[in-house]
Amino acid sequence: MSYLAFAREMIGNLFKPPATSEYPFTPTKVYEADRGKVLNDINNCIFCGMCMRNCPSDAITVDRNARTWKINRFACVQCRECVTNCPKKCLSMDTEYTAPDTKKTEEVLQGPPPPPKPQVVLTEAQKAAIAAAQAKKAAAAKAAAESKANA
Amino acid sequence: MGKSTVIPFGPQHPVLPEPIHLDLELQDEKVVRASTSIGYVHRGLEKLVEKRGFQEYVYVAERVCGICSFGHGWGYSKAVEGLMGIEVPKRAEYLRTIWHELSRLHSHLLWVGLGADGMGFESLFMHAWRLREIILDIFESTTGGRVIFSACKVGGVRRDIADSELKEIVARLDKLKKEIDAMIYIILGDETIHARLRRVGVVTLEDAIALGCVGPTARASGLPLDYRCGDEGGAYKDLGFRPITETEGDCFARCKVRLRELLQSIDIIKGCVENMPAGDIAVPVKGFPPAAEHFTRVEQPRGEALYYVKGNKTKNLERFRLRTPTNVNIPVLVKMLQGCDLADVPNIILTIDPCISCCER
Repeated sequence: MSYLAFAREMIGNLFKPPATSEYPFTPTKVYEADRGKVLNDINNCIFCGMCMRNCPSDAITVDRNARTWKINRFACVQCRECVTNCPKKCLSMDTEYTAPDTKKTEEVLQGPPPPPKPQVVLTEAQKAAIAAAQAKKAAAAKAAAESKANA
Repeated sequence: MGKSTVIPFGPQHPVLPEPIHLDLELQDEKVVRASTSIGYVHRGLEKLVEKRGFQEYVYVAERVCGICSFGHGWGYSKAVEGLMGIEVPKRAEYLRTIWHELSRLHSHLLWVGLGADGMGFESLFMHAWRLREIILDIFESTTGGRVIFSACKVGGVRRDIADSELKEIVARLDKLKKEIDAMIYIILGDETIHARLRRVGVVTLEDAIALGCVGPTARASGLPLDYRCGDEGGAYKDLGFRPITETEGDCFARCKVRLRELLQSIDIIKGCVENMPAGDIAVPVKGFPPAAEHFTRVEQPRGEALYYVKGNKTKNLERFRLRTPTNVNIPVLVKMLQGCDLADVPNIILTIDPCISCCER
């Protein structure tokens, strides 16, 4: 046992570089696995709402009709659950964190308008086939109704 | 004997990392009676289980505590897996063991720092926390988080660690081990630390059993109470785990147990890496938890934590209950404080390694 057992370590530390980094001036170490803020490639998003349903902190709101994807970055807990569950893989995670803000703002991403539905042009033969099928269906329904009334 | 005086200690006090209040009844410089009160960081996390889905709740369970966050995620997942009868793949169990032991390493290094700070040894505090940074970097590169890992889920783990990365972790731990060895030599050999911790806050084996203390506090009194040699799961059974005990029961023995556990944790991680099985890291979870209950335990850095879950055939569990090691170490803390000097109170409180946010949830 001795006094000043730590003195050698302390004197050694005087000649070593600092263990900390001067953060705002030198960038922090970033790892590939880091979970920063969630990014959405809105052009690929199909607004299915899987991210909204799986979010444990209810930070994401998806409106399918308005085609908007909204995230409250200050409620997000960066768990990566939305990225894992995205079927189109349009969500990704940045290694950078959300910048601080004075207000709890929400970020709204507006998707492009939906692509127009393809117009189907039918030939005369197809139209006739559809009309025949509809007539057959109507006749079957009428027969079923009659048999039910008789019973 | 003079007139007794009651002085408040905490909830805001320089040596306390978290808020706990003690009323110390003093006669001269001796504490004759101490009473504790908690309730400053209650957040109602157990109730939240009724609002969040059973798979989402892992993220809430992790946030019970910032130090043993992986252990709480694991304990909750293990309880739900037991309730639903899910068998976790072997590789996931080994990965969980690695992260859990890394948590223990960083928790004990944090404790060395806080303990040193409590007795006024500022440079050891800085040194221990510098070593802890190595562990936090390993966490960040393997899970993506430094404190909250989000790595555990019901049915397995969410991230795999590649074999090359595992080898790198072992190399980093070998380097860390040398530094920890040097630090242990300093702590065990320093006269001032001996003077502050030896024969202070003694818990006898009988008291340890009667008051039901757990973790390093119990092991320092010679009670080999460690759930890792029980049915903990993970890789402990395969690696042949033996608990570390000391017999003196004073503050110094509790310090020694934690220091020896640092080296033991490094050996466990190395054993896991050597015997790492190949295969899946998770199994899909289908359906909802049945209307039944399940009870399980996990050995946290501070001692044994108990997890109870009750399902009701819906997405949400009906009840989740967590009993943390600090809850059961508070009675023994009160016992230790009776008859001690006022100047030893900070050391005694810190050597049980109290985690109040765990305790209150």
